[in-house]
Amino acid sequence: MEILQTSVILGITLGMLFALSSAGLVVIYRTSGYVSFAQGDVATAALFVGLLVHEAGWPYWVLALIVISSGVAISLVVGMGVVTPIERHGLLSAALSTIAVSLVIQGLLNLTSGGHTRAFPALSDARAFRLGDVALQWTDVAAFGCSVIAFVALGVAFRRSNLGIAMRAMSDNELAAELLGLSRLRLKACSWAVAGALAGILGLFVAPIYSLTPQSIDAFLVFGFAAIIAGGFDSIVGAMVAGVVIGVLTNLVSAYLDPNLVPFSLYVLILVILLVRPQGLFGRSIVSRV
Amino acid sequence: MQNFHRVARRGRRLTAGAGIAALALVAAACGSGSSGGGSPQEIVVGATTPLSGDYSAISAGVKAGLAAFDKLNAAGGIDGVKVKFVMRDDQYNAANTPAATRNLVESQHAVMMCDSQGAVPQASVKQYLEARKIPSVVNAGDPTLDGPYHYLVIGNYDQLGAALVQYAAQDLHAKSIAVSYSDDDLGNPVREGAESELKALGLKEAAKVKYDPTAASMSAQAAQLKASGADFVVLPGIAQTAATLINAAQQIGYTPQWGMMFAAQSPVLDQLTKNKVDGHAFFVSSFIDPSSSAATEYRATLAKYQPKLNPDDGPTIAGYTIAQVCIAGLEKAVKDAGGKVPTSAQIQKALSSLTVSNDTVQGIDWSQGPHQGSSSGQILALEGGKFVAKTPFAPFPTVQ
Amino acid sequence: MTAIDVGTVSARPGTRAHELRGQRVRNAVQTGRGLFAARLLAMLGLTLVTALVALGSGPALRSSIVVGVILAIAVLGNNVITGVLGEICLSASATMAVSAYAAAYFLGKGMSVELAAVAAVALASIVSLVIAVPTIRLHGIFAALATFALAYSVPTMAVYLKRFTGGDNGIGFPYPTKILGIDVSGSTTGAVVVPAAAFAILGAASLVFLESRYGRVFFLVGESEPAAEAFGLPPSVVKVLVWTWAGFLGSVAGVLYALNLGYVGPANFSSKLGILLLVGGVVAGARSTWGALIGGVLVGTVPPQIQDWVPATATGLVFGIVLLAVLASGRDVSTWVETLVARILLALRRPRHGTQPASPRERLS
Repeated sequence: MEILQTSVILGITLGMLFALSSAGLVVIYRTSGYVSFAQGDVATAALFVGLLVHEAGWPYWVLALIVISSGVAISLVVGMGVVTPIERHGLLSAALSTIAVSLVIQGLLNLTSGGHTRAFPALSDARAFRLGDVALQWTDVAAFGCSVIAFVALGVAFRRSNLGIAMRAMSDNELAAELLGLSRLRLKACSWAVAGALAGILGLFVAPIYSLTPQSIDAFLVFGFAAIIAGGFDSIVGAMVAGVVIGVLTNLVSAYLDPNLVPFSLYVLILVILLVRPQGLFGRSIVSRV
Repeated sequence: MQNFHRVARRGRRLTAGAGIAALALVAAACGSGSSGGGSPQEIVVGATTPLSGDYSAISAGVKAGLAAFDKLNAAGGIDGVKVKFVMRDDQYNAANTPAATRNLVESQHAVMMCDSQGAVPQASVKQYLEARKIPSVVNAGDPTLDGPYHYLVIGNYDQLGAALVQYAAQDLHAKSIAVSYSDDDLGNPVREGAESELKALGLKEAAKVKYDPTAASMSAQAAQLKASGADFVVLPGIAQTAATLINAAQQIGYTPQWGMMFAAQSPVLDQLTKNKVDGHAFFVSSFIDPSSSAATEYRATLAKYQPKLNPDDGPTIAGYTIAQVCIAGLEKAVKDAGGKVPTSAQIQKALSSLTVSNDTVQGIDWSQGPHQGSSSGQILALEGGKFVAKTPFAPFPTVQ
Repeated sequence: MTAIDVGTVSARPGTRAHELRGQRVRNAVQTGRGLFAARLLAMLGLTLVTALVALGSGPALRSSIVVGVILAIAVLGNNVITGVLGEICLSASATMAVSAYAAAYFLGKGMSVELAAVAAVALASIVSLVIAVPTIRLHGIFAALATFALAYSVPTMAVYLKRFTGGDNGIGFPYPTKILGIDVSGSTTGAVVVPAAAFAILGAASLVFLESRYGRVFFLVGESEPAAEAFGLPPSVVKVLVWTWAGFLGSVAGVLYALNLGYVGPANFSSKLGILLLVGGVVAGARSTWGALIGGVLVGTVPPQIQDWVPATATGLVFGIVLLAVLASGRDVSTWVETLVARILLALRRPRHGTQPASPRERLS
């Protein structure tokens, strides 16, 4: 019972991180129609910038701000400087260019940092409260809170604000959106900036627990992919719920079946969801165009 | 269609032309290949290691080895004979190791391999190196790598596991011991050694918990360990992996004493666990305590030649020590060769009669047949942010 | 195609025949179809050159080229999915893993190399067929992410299935390995010749099929399913066939890979390999068989070999920049080369047949 309880509670906190990683992917997907494989590397690069700030002795809140703004800046450079211009050669080329960008960022970090494992400071090590056997720290609470805030903000932005409506218009029909006078580039820049900020936030919560190497955030990407597939590309709330479900499920597989089966169970989960509900658990049904 | 045949014919002519050009290139490449290599007064020693890619962090050990050779050369080499240490990237992928090793041996004319990393990558070139009669002192602890041309320095992992259990039961008086492990060539031998020692001591294993070292979460494993009620947990794995499990355990209020390998012995572990394992973390190592007086020279060498490396890391001191053992073998070989650059055969002969027991390495004896790693070592503890020796260098318990 | 045989009319520059031919070459370059003989010869020629370069190189470069040619076979399969169906498959590494492990397992059970190879390819092809059935229902990003998840699960799955795969240590088998009496291990001559011959045969088979009547229907499925249905072939059958063919090619690559290395382990089949096989294929030319060879060499040979020119720690960076440069150019490598060759050929033709001066329009263009 204890194992079950712990697996579920910690699965939820883990799942919120998966959800957070999927949020950045969704934002880019909504305006551009592909996912960025460089999302984890944007986060890592921003964290290395943050580490310099930390080593210079600045307080945590400065570090956090620097990481998030570096995430925005790097993501903008990647998105607007490299990936979006390649879109004119097709979406596949653009999507693949994110893989090349990922190799470039990892290569740069390997060259400059030497690639070895580093520790990263956390928001706080103080204990917040107990939930069953689990002592949640303020960092966990903050990660949870940030995810919820990010999702609520994104949800509201996508539904209510002009920008969000424009983004939806863009993903539905780029030409029509442009005819309506929506600036394609501005919207894309906006989505890459938001994705960069989300990458920075994710990194701030992941790096203190899993250490910082040029690859450490990458492991979260595949779970982020799974969360958006399961939740549906259209539904921000769906991605959050799916992230949590995946966090709990993978913990249960790890506890009761075998830890080495976790990635395969993720594949099976994705496949089953796609076959049973192609639009995801919470997505709008897809209108197919012939 | 005729037209296309004509195009095709021309294509053929082009192809033939390209073929000739390629052959010319090849001839040029071959020519330059055979003229390369070390100078007459230089011994070329090669190593494969992940300098790029996902595993680049673990190349620190080989870089420390490079520092050892740099220092040797700065001091004039071995009786005037310099050593050229060449590292080649294999990304820790056994698909790349053969090409990297061939490059070192056949293009760079390495007469010896030293500090090449990883049991699995090294297994993929073992037969090749034997066929070329190139001796190799490996940076891996898998006893099956032992062979006529292969030499181990790191103690066998099963013995390291047994040593942890022995220390937990006899010195820490642990009441209940659990073993966590990854299903790989590090985790399995450590688990087997630990279980064998538990049996020898007449103790029962509280739990055997498997983890995936690449997993994003280990909270399920932490919960299983907690449920076992063990007050000492054997935890093989590198610092990053160990910290993930320890943090997950902390989160559910489970704070046993942890028995780890030198692979996790790193200030990064202390930082990642927010100093919470200080006083509860023990490490078994066949290498010296990096803060001891015997390590003064090691620290100075690293500070001079590889200032980016952390001297307190277990894998770093391991890589450095392995290079020192190679140097001991080379010194002997140079002497046997009458002060000249030794051949591979001379180096192999020298290594096969080598015994090393000094301040920095103990219990290496390759003269009796098998070329196994050090059979003795010590337990270190993380205390006040430092790794402190808790036991003197002593032989490891034997594993059945 | 046979109705207008432009070749018999000596195509004078400025004449309609010349324009038509130019158009045809341009079309062929753009669509990746047509000019069968030229393509076949280019593919065979390039394979031969690659093999000769390998045989003339030192053993280190040679064994890297061998790995490149073997991966090219997997790229060839992946390219059919990308080039014909327009779908993204990131799991070529998974198919390779299944057949490589199967071959190693069968060899360990004492099977002859030939039998083990055939059985492994058969088994992995069947697995591919089974996986293809649900996968073809996915499109675009969904297919890409599902196959990515599959590729991601391979290394841990290999550890889980330890009884068959040897776990993290992998399986080694008697080395050197001989198939039909030819040593295919390491950097031996056989190791160069056998994969190159396999690539040439399978590449030719791909070309012949895609240029056939059925091949056209397959392309149609990628462009418009309802249109394809009008030809009487259910699109789902076509898609399963394409994914299975790709799986078959991946299996052949996997077996050759295992036999060449004499060892199979989880690190050989990381999800990165699956990603790079796709990237290599697209960058080199998803609709070109000889492009597949370039793609395989790009993935298998270039990364380990560029450390001869750049510091090893920078190889990932350089490789990424090369990929970005090709993607940013808007054309894949094979289109670049084909365009160039087509231009040269058309230009060469002019003075030979043309006594008249070219029309002013043409001189301008």
